[in-house]
Amino acid sequence: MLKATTLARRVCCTVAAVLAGTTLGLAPVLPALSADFPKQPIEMAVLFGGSSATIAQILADSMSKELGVPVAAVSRTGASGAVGYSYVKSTPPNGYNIVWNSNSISTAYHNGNMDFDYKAFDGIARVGMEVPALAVRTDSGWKNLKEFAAAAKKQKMKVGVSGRGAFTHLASAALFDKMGIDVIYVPYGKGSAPVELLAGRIDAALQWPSQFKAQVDAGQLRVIAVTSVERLPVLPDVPTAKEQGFDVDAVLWRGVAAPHGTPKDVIAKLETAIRKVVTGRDFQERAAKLGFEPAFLGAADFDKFIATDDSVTAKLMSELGLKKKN
Amino acid sequence: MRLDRVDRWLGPCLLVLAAVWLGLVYAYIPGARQPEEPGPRAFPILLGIVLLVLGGFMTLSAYFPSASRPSDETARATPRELYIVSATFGLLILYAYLLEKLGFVIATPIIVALAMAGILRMRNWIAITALAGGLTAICWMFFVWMLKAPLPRGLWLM
Amino acid sequence: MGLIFGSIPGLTFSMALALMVPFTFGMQTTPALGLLLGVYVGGMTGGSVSAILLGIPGTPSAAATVFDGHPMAQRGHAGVALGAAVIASTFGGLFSLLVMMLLLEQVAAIAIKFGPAEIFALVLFGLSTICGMAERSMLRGLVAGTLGLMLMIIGLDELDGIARLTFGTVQMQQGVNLLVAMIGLFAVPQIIGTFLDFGRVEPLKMLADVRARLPTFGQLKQRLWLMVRCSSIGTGIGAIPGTGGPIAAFLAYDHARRFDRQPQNYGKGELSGVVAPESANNAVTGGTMIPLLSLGIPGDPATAVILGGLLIHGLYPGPMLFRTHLEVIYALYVSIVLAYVVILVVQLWGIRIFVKVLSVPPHVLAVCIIVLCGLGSYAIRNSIFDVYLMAVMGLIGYILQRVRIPVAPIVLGLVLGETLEKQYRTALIMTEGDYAVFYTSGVALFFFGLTALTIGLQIFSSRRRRPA
Repeated sequence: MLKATTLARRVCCTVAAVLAGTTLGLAPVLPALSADFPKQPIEMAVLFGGSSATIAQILADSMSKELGVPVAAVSRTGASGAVGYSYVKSTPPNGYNIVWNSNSISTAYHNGNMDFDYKAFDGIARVGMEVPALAVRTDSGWKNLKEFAAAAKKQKMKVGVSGRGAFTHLASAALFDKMGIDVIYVPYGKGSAPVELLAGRIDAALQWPSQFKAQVDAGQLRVIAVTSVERLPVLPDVPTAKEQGFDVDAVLWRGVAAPHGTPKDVIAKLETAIRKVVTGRDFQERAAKLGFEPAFLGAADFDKFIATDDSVTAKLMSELGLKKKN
Repeated sequence: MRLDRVDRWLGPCLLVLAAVWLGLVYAYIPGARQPEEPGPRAFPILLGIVLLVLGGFMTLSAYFPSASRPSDETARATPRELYIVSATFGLLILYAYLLEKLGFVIATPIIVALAMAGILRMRNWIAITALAGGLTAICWMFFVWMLKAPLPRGLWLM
Repeated sequence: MGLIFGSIPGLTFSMALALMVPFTFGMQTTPALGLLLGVYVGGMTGGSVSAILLGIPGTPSAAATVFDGHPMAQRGHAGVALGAAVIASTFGGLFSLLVMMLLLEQVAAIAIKFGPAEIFALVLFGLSTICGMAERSMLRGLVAGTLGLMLMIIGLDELDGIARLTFGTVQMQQGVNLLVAMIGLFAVPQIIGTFLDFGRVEPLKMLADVRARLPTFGQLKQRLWLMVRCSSIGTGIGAIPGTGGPIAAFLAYDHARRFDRQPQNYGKGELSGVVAPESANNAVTGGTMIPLLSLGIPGDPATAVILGGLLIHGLYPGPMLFRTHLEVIYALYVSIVLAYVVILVVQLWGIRIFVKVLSVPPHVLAVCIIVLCGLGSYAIRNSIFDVYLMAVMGLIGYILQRVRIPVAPIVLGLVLGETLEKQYRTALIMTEGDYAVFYTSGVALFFFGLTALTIGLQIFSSRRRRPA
């Protein structure tokens, strides 16, 4: 079996070489040995647009300088990330196809939109975190979670999130669960929640800090809590939910992973490159401006981290009635 | 063939399509989470019903034509047309398959050559080779060189 | 740069922008901004080139341009169509820039009044134009529109995260992309048509006259008022977050058709049918900048990328930007004007080269288009599934054409359907199922009224035409 596939591959390569040679003189890529990794361009699948895609671009650019081969951030969006995960999973585990992954690996699986979970990938490194923030209008008068909770008990609040089962929905559900209030989740796609909040059609929105930044500076919106354990450098004055007495730790992590079975030394090389980039000053500065918290974690720890996070997500989603039984 | 003749089978086709659609929608799309909101199933159902009505209307007016119908003509399908339509469709499907498995650089000349030799029945091999090679080269230059857009590399080759 | 991306089908300007962002890191703020904006407006303009020449829209916003631009090219008026497109684009872009400079605050204040219920009403109005788009029979137009809306249903439902009619496959969850569908529906039947004619019909001599004739001054002057109206439509729609270029282009196209004395010429190569959508879709660029600059909120995916580029340079768009970095705002205005000047010059000059495409024998061109169809549909989302989808849509498109069901309403259904459904549901989720949201809003009522009027007029005029 093994022999047959290598033979087929060789035949294909020869045919390829001849054909390509006649057309362009471009020799196609030959399967490289892991010892001299990397020898050919690396593709990093990016599953979503927006600011996380910009971070991925920055990371890919700096990684190509570290590794000496082009690293291309290729957009493979759709189906809450399932499209990109499926593509990378289908590629050979040789380190040339990696994925810019996140909590979406757990949500897509537990939503029932994907028939494999995080175990189909080997983590390379965690790159950083994004922390959701809860904002209200300044003229609402609510200054912290307690006031918000008191008001919410009198009248049901409308809270804007990105979509049911999206991370912002899960994070706000976790928060309001701890606060003991019941709200209406209004799902918006494509980041229109801040406008809706501004226009007064919803009472609060749980989104990413960079989306609120302009309006917070202008004094029209107020961020009353972030859902991480520590305060954010972008919003140093905003207390965490935990400080306000509601023990919530919901952050969106992002990292890089390769299909399961990728050789250990290849992963180690990629891990080293990513560590150099992420701990470098350039990356840190740019990330800060985009509201992204660099938080490097090596391959082994990253795998454990994902596993823990997956079980937390699974529990939360089944409580919310969003989990499909697979 | 007159257009109202076409409608005699097009109408029922639409009816069947609408019925199949409604069946699939009921079978596969869950209803709303909260009873007061429309949920993901409301729209598809509405569309199915609309198509059902339209199809019904078309069927009725085809079998009971009113006097003042415009009588449009449309040509009958010839064997040659059937061949070319299915060949082109097959070629496009094959192109998709080859792009995935062999990558752009190999799939494109094959498809170009097949289109010219197979569908157009051209026998000028110099022209075929030139176009197959040239087109691939130009596209490659544009997409990969200038625009740095990733083209399929071919799963069998990785 | 944006021009190139825009003119190549499948490479949308949002993608071009994403690729350009890293290049801007090392630059000064002003040139970086200039580059991003140049790509944005250039891409929006360039999309018309392949729409007119090959019948494949380069970007979704150029979809409406195909309807009349491509027939014009087939009749040998490619130069006129391309020239009109670029001039209309520039006009629309500069018009919206002017609006942005003068009325930023006011437009932004109106734009945020458009909540889900209002956008739903607006889009419903857009959909009512289906009735008018059918060539001969309204019934066939409605069937096509419904089919388009059905195609839109397939895929992952964004609001509830539920896969609809995907039969358990991950690939189907991506849904039917507008551009992929358009490539299939428009380009593939044409390839088949060319193959059928090959060796039978002597190649038409219409291509003898492919000299780059530009539209005359008179032709443009006649349509000046139309351009103003369509640019206003574009700017307004662009300013409302959650709508965007394709919707604006279609509304403008329909607006032009409805108010023309000879609406029956549309779809067959009417110059106004090119001018209207092109001025509107470029006016969107200025429109989307309004919420971006005044509120810090991106109106579409492309401006979201521009927002990222600004953030990297430490600029937070919003009310504060006008106070702290006024020079950046001026730089932004200047770069947009500059970009349009460059586009105008390059594209008017380029028309001579573009029309040469049409002197290629049709069967050879058809073979080239096959490759472009494949590559274009792949490149939109880097997805092989889309190439298969394009092939299937092509077959469907051909069959529909044979049974005389127009494909334009299908495209309209795909463009508007998603927004229509999503806004309707969001509106009702928000109010916990209280339908009052639709009839208590003045804006929504206004558009419902327009919708009813459109449908009424259409039925009335088709009744009147019948006895004649």
